[in-house]
Amino acid sequence: MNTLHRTFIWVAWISCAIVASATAASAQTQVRVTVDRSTIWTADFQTPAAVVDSGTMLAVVAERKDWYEVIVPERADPARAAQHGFIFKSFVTKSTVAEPRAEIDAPRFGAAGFAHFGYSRFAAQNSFQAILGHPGGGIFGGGGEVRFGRGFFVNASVDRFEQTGQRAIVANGQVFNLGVSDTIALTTWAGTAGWRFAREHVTPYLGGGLGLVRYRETSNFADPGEDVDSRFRSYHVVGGVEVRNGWVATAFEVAYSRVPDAIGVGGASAAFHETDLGGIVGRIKVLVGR
Amino acid sequence: MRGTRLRAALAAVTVTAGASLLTVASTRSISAQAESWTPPHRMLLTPERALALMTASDRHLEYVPGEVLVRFRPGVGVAGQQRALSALRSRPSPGDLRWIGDRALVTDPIERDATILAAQLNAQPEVAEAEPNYLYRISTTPNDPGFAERQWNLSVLDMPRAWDINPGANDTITVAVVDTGMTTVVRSYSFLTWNGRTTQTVSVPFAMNPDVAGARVVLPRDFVFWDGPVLDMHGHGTHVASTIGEDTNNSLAEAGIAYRVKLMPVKACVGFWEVQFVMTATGYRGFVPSDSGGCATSEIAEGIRYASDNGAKVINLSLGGPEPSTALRDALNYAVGKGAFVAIAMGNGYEDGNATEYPAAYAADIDGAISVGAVGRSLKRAYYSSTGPHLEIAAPGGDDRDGGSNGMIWQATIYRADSTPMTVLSPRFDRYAESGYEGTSMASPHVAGVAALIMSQGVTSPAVVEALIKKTALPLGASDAATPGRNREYGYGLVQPRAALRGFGLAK
Repeated sequence: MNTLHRTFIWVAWISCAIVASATAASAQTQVRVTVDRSTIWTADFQTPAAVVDSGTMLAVVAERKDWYEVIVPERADPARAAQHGFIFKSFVTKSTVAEPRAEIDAPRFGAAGFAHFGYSRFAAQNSFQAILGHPGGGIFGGGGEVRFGRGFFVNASVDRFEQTGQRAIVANGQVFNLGVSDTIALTTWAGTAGWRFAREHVTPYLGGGLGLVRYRETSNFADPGEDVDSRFRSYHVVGGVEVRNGWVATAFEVAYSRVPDAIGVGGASAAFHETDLGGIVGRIKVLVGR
Repeated sequence: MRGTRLRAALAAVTVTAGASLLTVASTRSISAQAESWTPPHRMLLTPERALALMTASDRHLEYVPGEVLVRFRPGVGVAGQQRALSALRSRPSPGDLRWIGDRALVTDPIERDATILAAQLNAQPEVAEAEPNYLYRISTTPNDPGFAERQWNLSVLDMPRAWDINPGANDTITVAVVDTGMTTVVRSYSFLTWNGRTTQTVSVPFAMNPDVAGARVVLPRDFVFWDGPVLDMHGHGTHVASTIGEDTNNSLAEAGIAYRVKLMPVKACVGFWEVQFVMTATGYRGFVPSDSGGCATSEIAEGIRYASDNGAKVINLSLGGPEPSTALRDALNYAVGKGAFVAIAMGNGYEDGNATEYPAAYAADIDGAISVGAVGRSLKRAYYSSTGPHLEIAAPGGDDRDGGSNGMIWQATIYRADSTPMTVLSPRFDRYAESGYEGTSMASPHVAGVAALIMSQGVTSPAVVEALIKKTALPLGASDAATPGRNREYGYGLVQPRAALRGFGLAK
């Protein structure tokens, strides 16, 4: 097991832990404040923990006669954020439909950096299978994201794929590898714009964009000019779910990309009549930021 | 005892031989021999066969007189075979047939015209097909001038860099050379020969090619001369084998392409000396024609089957002739089916009418067999190299009109001056020298060697080897309109060992 695989597994475990904790939190009852400047009292009912306006969504921890025990929202008083307090039941109504608190609490502007790992299955799967022995492989990369308004976001990312296989001959669908090493490296710079459907903890999002793919193929015993180093425009759409817990979020996303007419003129790709360097990518992203 | 049997057998053929030869060369005659000769091994080149080969040479026949290959219909038993053979005047017995795969070699000592024999047998309901036992020939023009700039052929193929990828294949690959043989012993044999005035016994020394390690020679087999060690009394087979796998990087002589493979000499062809020795032993006084000999379909087919049955992964056939033979085609299919790639010389008859030659013409329809034309050192088609739509690939074959003697293919083989027919009276085959030859016979082993290199890299399918060689060829000349990427003079172009060994990446 190489370092990349070990890292991937660790990230997967951490991501699962974040998701588990966030999912538990999101299962709590919520209430909506109906009276402006309602007070949330501390447990001694002597000191106000926070004052909230109408429309504020509060997570209910417990009930006590005429009072709800709630979590003090961060926006109301950052110093007491996540502490528990009590609000009079008459000042709130139970929320029957999950209201997007994040929509209310979400900042008007946010930024995050991210790193990601994933698996890419190429559209030219026969060609990759012929040379690498499998139709795709692991990718890694990172980037940055900026969010505006209630859901719009743009991000820029770079992905890297690199694997070494063997050169081959393909005849009548049969593949024979020749023992001459062949390294394929794909670097993709992508820009994506999309919309986040903000929720308290779980935020689905969709987007699409353009990219630039650098395709390099190098092999042993090659003369200058026999290796490949080309750039192609790519198109992609992406969808995913982001699970946030404070400043850290984990996203699971799937992207479909096309890099038309990038290959297929020679080599194994010509034998299989495969011309597209795109494919489907499954990624786990770890984001830091708001 | 053996000698007695030999002489006794000859009594039966002398009449026929005499009758045949009278019309050929009246100055020749067979008389009581002055000396006797006892062959050390059971002779396969019988006096009848030697006489037939000599007759074929004299009359320019494309078949062995009196011999026909017959395939009986499925289910036909001995009784049925006997019925069919009864159509022939000599009424041969099924027990006398020599079987080569599913075909039987029928020899008729009475009717010498094999086309008549084939027609008679084809008229029988028990016979699926019958054809004359066609003769194919090795066609080269040996020359022994100076040695300057000898191996241009390996340079134009960029072999040094191909060897960077694959240095000479390995000993898991066996390449069979179905040809005049490649001597496998170091010793002398006594033969009777004609010295211009009388018959004399000569001691003929043989030696192995010093530039092919003995351990690399495996499973040699003689199908045509005798049931003993393989002897090359011509030089063609040795030259061809040297191109394929002469020892390399040993500071001796020349280099071969796949210099680590095992070589399997399969002798299916005889030349002047074999015929001369056997004919002299029969009491024949005189020289046989200098171009006596050849390679009969029966032995070629048997050799191909033997090679593929005994592990050969590549078979080289540097021979050909104008007559088609289904027996030969079936043998090729059999070999490819057994996993052997077959390289076949295209033919040297461009200036002699450019007739289609076989078995090369079959290669175009067999995935795993390839027909090979020749180019000279300037990569132009060699003047002799036959053309046609069945040509698949080109390789260096030498062309003395393109660079003189330096434009030929130079490899180690038996020293030609030691055995020039009718000039040398007591030949020797124990001395080797770099010799210049030209012909598609020389082009074919280049491709066979490259195929061996490819197979040693794990490509086990003959069809894929052929596809790889074609796809990586360097196109020469303009494509024919009907066949993009290919033409009648060069096929898909010049074989490119380095490109073939590198294969293809994903995009290029």
